[in-house]
Amino acid sequence: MTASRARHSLDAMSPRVTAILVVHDGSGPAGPASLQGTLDALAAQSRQPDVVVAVACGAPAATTLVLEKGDIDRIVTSGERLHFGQALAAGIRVVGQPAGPDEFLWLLAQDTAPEPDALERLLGALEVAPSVAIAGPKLKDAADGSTIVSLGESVTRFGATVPLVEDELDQGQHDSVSDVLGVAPAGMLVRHTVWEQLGGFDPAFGSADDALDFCTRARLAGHRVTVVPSATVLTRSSGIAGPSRSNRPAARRKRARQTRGAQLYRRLVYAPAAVVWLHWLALLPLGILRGIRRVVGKQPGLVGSEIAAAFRVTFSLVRVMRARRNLQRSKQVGWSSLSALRIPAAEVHRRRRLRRDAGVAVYTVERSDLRFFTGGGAWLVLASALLGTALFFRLLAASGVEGGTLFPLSASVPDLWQNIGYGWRDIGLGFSGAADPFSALLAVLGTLTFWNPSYVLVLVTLLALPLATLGGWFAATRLTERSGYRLVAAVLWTVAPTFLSALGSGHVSGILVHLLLPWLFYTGCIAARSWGSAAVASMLLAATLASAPSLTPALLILWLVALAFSGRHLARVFWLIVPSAALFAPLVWQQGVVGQNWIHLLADPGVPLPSPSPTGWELVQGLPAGNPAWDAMTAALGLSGIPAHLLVPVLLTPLAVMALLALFLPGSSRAAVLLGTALLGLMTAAGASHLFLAVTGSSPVSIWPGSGLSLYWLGLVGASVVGFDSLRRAAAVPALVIGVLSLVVAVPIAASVATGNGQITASNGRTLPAYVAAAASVDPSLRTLILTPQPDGGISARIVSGVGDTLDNQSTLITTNPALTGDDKNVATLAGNLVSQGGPDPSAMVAEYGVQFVLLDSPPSLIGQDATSPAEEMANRAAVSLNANAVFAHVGPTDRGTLWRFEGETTPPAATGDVPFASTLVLGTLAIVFGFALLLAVPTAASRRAAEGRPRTIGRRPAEPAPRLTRAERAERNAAAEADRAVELALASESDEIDEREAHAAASNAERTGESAGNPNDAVERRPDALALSSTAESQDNHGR
Amino acid sequence: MADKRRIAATSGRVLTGVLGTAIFLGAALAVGQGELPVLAAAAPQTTVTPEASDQFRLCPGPLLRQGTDASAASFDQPAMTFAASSAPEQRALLAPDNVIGDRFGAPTVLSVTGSEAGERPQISAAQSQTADLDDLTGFAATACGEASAESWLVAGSTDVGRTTMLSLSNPSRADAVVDLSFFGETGAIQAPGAKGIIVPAGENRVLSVASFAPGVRTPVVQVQSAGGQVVAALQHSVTRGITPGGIELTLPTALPSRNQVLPGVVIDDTAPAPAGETYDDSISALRIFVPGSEQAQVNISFLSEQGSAAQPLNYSIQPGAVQEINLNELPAGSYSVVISSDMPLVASSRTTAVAGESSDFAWFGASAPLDDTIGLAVAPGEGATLHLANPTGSDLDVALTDGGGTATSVTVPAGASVAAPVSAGMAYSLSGVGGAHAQVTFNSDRGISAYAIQPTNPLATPVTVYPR
Repeated sequence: MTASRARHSLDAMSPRVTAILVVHDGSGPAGPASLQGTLDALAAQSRQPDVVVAVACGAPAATTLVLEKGDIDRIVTSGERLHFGQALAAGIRVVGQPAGPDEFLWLLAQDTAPEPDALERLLGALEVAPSVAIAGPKLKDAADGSTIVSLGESVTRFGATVPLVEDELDQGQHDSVSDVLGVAPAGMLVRHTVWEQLGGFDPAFGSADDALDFCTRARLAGHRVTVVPSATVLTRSSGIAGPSRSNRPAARRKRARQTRGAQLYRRLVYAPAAVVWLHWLALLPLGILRGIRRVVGKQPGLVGSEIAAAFRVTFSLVRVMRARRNLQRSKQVGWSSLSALRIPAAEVHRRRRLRRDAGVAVYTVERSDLRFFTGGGAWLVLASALLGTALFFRLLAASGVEGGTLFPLSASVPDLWQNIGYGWRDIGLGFSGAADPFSALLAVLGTLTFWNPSYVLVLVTLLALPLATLGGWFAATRLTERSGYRLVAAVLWTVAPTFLSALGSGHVSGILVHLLLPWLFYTGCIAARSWGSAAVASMLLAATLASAPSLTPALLILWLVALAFSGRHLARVFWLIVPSAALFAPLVWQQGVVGQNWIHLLADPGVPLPSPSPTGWELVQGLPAGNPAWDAMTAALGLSGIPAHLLVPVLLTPLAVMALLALFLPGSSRAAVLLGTALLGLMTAAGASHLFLAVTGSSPVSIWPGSGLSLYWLGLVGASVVGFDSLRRAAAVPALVIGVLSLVVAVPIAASVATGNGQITASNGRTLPAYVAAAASVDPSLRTLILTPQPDGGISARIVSGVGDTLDNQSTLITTNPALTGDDKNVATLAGNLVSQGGPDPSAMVAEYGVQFVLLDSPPSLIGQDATSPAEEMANRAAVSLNANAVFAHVGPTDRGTLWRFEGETTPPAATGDVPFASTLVLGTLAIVFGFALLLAVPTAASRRAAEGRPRTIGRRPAEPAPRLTRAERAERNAAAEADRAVELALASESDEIDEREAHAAASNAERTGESAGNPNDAVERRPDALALSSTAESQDNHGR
Repeated sequence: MADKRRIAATSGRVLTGVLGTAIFLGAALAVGQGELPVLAAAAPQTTVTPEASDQFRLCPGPLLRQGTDASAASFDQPAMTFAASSAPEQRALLAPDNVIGDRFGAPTVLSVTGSEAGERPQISAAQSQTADLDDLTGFAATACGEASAESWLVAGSTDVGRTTMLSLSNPSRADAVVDLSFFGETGAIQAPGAKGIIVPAGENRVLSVASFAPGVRTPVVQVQSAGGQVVAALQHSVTRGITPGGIELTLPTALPSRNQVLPGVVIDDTAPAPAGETYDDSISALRIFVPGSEQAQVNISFLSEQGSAAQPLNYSIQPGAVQEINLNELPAGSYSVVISSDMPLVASSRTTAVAGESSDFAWFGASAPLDDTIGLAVAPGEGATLHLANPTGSDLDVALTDGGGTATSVTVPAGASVAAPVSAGMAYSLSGVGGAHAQVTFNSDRGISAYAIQPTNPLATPVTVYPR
């Protein structure tokens, strides 16, 4: 071998080839083994390179050893891991200056193994055409030896790199290509003189576009660049020469960053001098816009790459200037000479379309139709809507509702949004602090009915039943394909005792949780499948937790379990909790970290409402506040004692039996998870009913156990549906029985809601007397002292501002604070003296607090306890004392209590002060996080196609016989397949035509047909799994720009 | 092979199922039966002691005699006693309705100002007067009362020969607008002109009840005032034929409540026995009125101070109409009457005794539970007795200290009533009477009279305020 090389070198007239071999570390798939392969391939060349120079960058001793054993003339070592371009420069430096145009450089990397005749053919191409300065081989994948990795590169009109051929099975279909804009760096043969003239690869490039840029400059210097399809080099694409083709997320991010960075850098270098600064200014805005587009395109991991690339290029002006000077120096011909080599927009679109169509064929599972209308779901929702209207007939014409924890919302949308985040809270005498996350949910809801924010609560109440049915039905589509069982699940979800109980007692957070949970299940259980689902689920989770923070422990456990099983989609599952964390962060900081009241974070938001404490057995039956409706009915029927208390449990037993039976049936893992969820819900409810965290007046208020019971019910119903699904047709009768029995349980509860025992009533939207409301409309800063006699003879004293309490302007920081603040003490002193006779003149204090009205509320009646006489006595005492007070004028009895007006002048309460930095920070974070989630959630064509590739259900899919099709359906299916084929053919012929127009050399028709058919087949072969679709779409995105 | 796999899968499922069912049922049982500790937040609260204010007592002034033209005129001066923490300031009200003017005195305000230390000033006062006219005889002792916005007067009669005059005194600085409501044995009485009666600040008005509710045997008057507050007093006198049958000046009884205690109702051994079925207002009786609209189930028990047993009575009383319950079955002696009801009610009791050649009667009002330490003024008169009723569950050791510093100890057992002799015209200080009810009675040849001791200004006691 040495002899042959010597022979060539002796011949002065024959071309002289110097092979530069760049070697990195020896580990990994491109390690010593592949290096050895490359060395062997070099040794096997039919035309031996005259000199072989190896550049070892940061290579371990083993690698160096391999090199020394190999047939290498010079070894250049470098401690650093140089880029391909820098390593080449280091290698060429030792070669010396070229003596003539017949000296060539052959650029190789450790993982590029040329076929034996590669150099000969490349050299042949250069020798016959002196105008050709650069020749590139056909790069093929070393793994299979038949897939074309690169065969020439071009750019679009906007400068994005486009590989002329990519990921195609080599059937000789491209062997006619010759003149191209650029070639890949690996295996490139370049005239040494040209290399020196152009200054080699631009070191500013990483592994992307270095060769393309070099080729472009060669073209502009008047040389030609050709690709030699007959010369083949096998590459492992480990990222030394040209970008790595690894599919690992980190590699993808790096590739995206380098590709984009290279494109931007080239844009600045190539642009006319007059507009460089425009391009430069546009870098960052464009980077952000493209980042948003990445989010919408469900590639949130690449956002950082986009922005990093933009930043990097923004701050590499010096290199850009140097590169521009370099280009100017070598430039001989105009840019117009390249126009024929660029890829036209039509071709870019054609490729994109072909790729998409190629993806469509990759179905491993067939997604069934939703069958919402044909399966009866729509009719059930309609029936549920009618029932809901009947239950809340009295609210049809209402503009607001009240009762239970339902209070009006702030009167205007800006006010609603002012009550979120962190800042001044106008509660009591006011304080600076974190808002409950629930306020943010209310702000969103209130914005839906922007003309009257409170009206959304009417809608929620009126539409609660149909919305629950809809949610239940959709949640069931994740568990069963059978319409009948979906309907049963929807019914069971709608008539959940906890839901009806919340509707009856007006627990707004209980209602919202029950409406949100099925959707959280619907999206959350497929969060690992797609970014879109993960984003929607993350927002639903935030809304659910905002409504019922008591669900946090249970949902956190479920999240951790999901995280443990998320596998390679860890990021998607992890994201689920991010919006919730952002939403809760201010409160967690203030209540937990600063206040050390961690348990108070679980308190229900909104107005605390005492409710009867349920027994443990009632919780097991799903009843959050006892069962007054059934108790009343059994009492009316003359039943009492054990039999009466056993009725509901007996009626609900079949549901529990079915849920447990599902554990014994095939597909029990789904049932196990759902029953685990049910247990978590039950534990939450049991814990909640024992946690009296908030206080109203003298009574501590427990967390509403109904939220936990909704989760419990979700698990039970879900497990039952899994059972139905596993039993297939055999479960039809049990399902019907369970559905009917649950309806029986619900009837008395629903009837008591409808017949006036429901707490939710129409409201005029005021919580203070009209007199105060009128005054507040003139002076919104006025304050009212509300005195409420307590059952123990004490009195509660609260100060409210403006038009009074609103649902969005409540704070668990206040309701759970066990300590008396200075303001509390002052208000208490004022109130204590106002309800006592004599005493000092309260004018000063009243005026200081801006209290213009005093409202003596009627004593609150605790459930199961009559208004006791101590409360009445206190009410009398307060009324008498206020009547006798000369500074208060008795306005009279109102619908909200007895009202007095302060006769003196009040000082308006101090302004709320500056917006603290924390407020801006919190709002900004929320905007970014939720904006990100919203963008991720926007469905795109690609995401819809990806979803269609997955089954609708989750977990194990029971092996079902192929659905029996009617004759008509079979005919339809055949027709559809026929149509698909026709479209495919049409596309193929169309692409043929385009190819024909743009081909540089004539080729046989047979080869053409091969290419057009090759595209889809290729994709099928390479990635037979269902995920092929999304990755195809991604790679298309990467290269399409 | 396939069989083995299936068996393994099935047994795995059975195992999962059994385990899952056991866990689920176990958890349900634990939730159903388990007793979790309740973590309840303590409601933040603070006890606010209203700042000490001046204390007022209003003595209703001299007895009045109604002229033929329905005018009122005083004829003698009452005697007054007071017990106060510091020397009270006295101020007479204008009494324009008294045609004699203030020759025999006028309604008088006694006031003490709060001390620097913030201690609540204490004052208590009482007055008494004997009438010895041709048509008006008897002894009337009464406490001096506090002004209030609502009061109930359960006394009087506007039957033939009975005169009832309502005195409204406004010691406050603001004019009072008084609404009167009258109830009789037939129900609420439509009384034109009874609403919106203005009692100017610092004045006294005298009204004849007969002008609002004529011919009512058992009137009950509700006095509500807005603006300033008034002290209402009812002067009730009886003439049977041409024989005067006694006089009494009463202050309001305790406000409507489900529990009423009338301490020390004295039934003299000369009390007349009923003759026939006709109504006779000389018979000992308990007058009860249930405001509102629901029938009350009333249990009346008697705590005898002499140790004799009396059967409790059970009545169901219609709302809205005043009812009198005869107490003539009770043997002579003194009793504390304890009324418990399922509806709030007001009550008062009347007994008659022979006095000299004629007879006299007394109204025993219900009183509210006392604070632990009170001042007690015993009006001048004969046969003064302090009655203490203890409806609480524990014995009370009461120390009775007279003005000279002599202390007497009285034990009031739980659920019992005791009588203690006190010196007329003497100021006492009582300690250890928290929760007890007290009444001072006078019973002698000169006549019979009584006044209940009401707790000091119930509207200025410390109050529990919840700031949430």
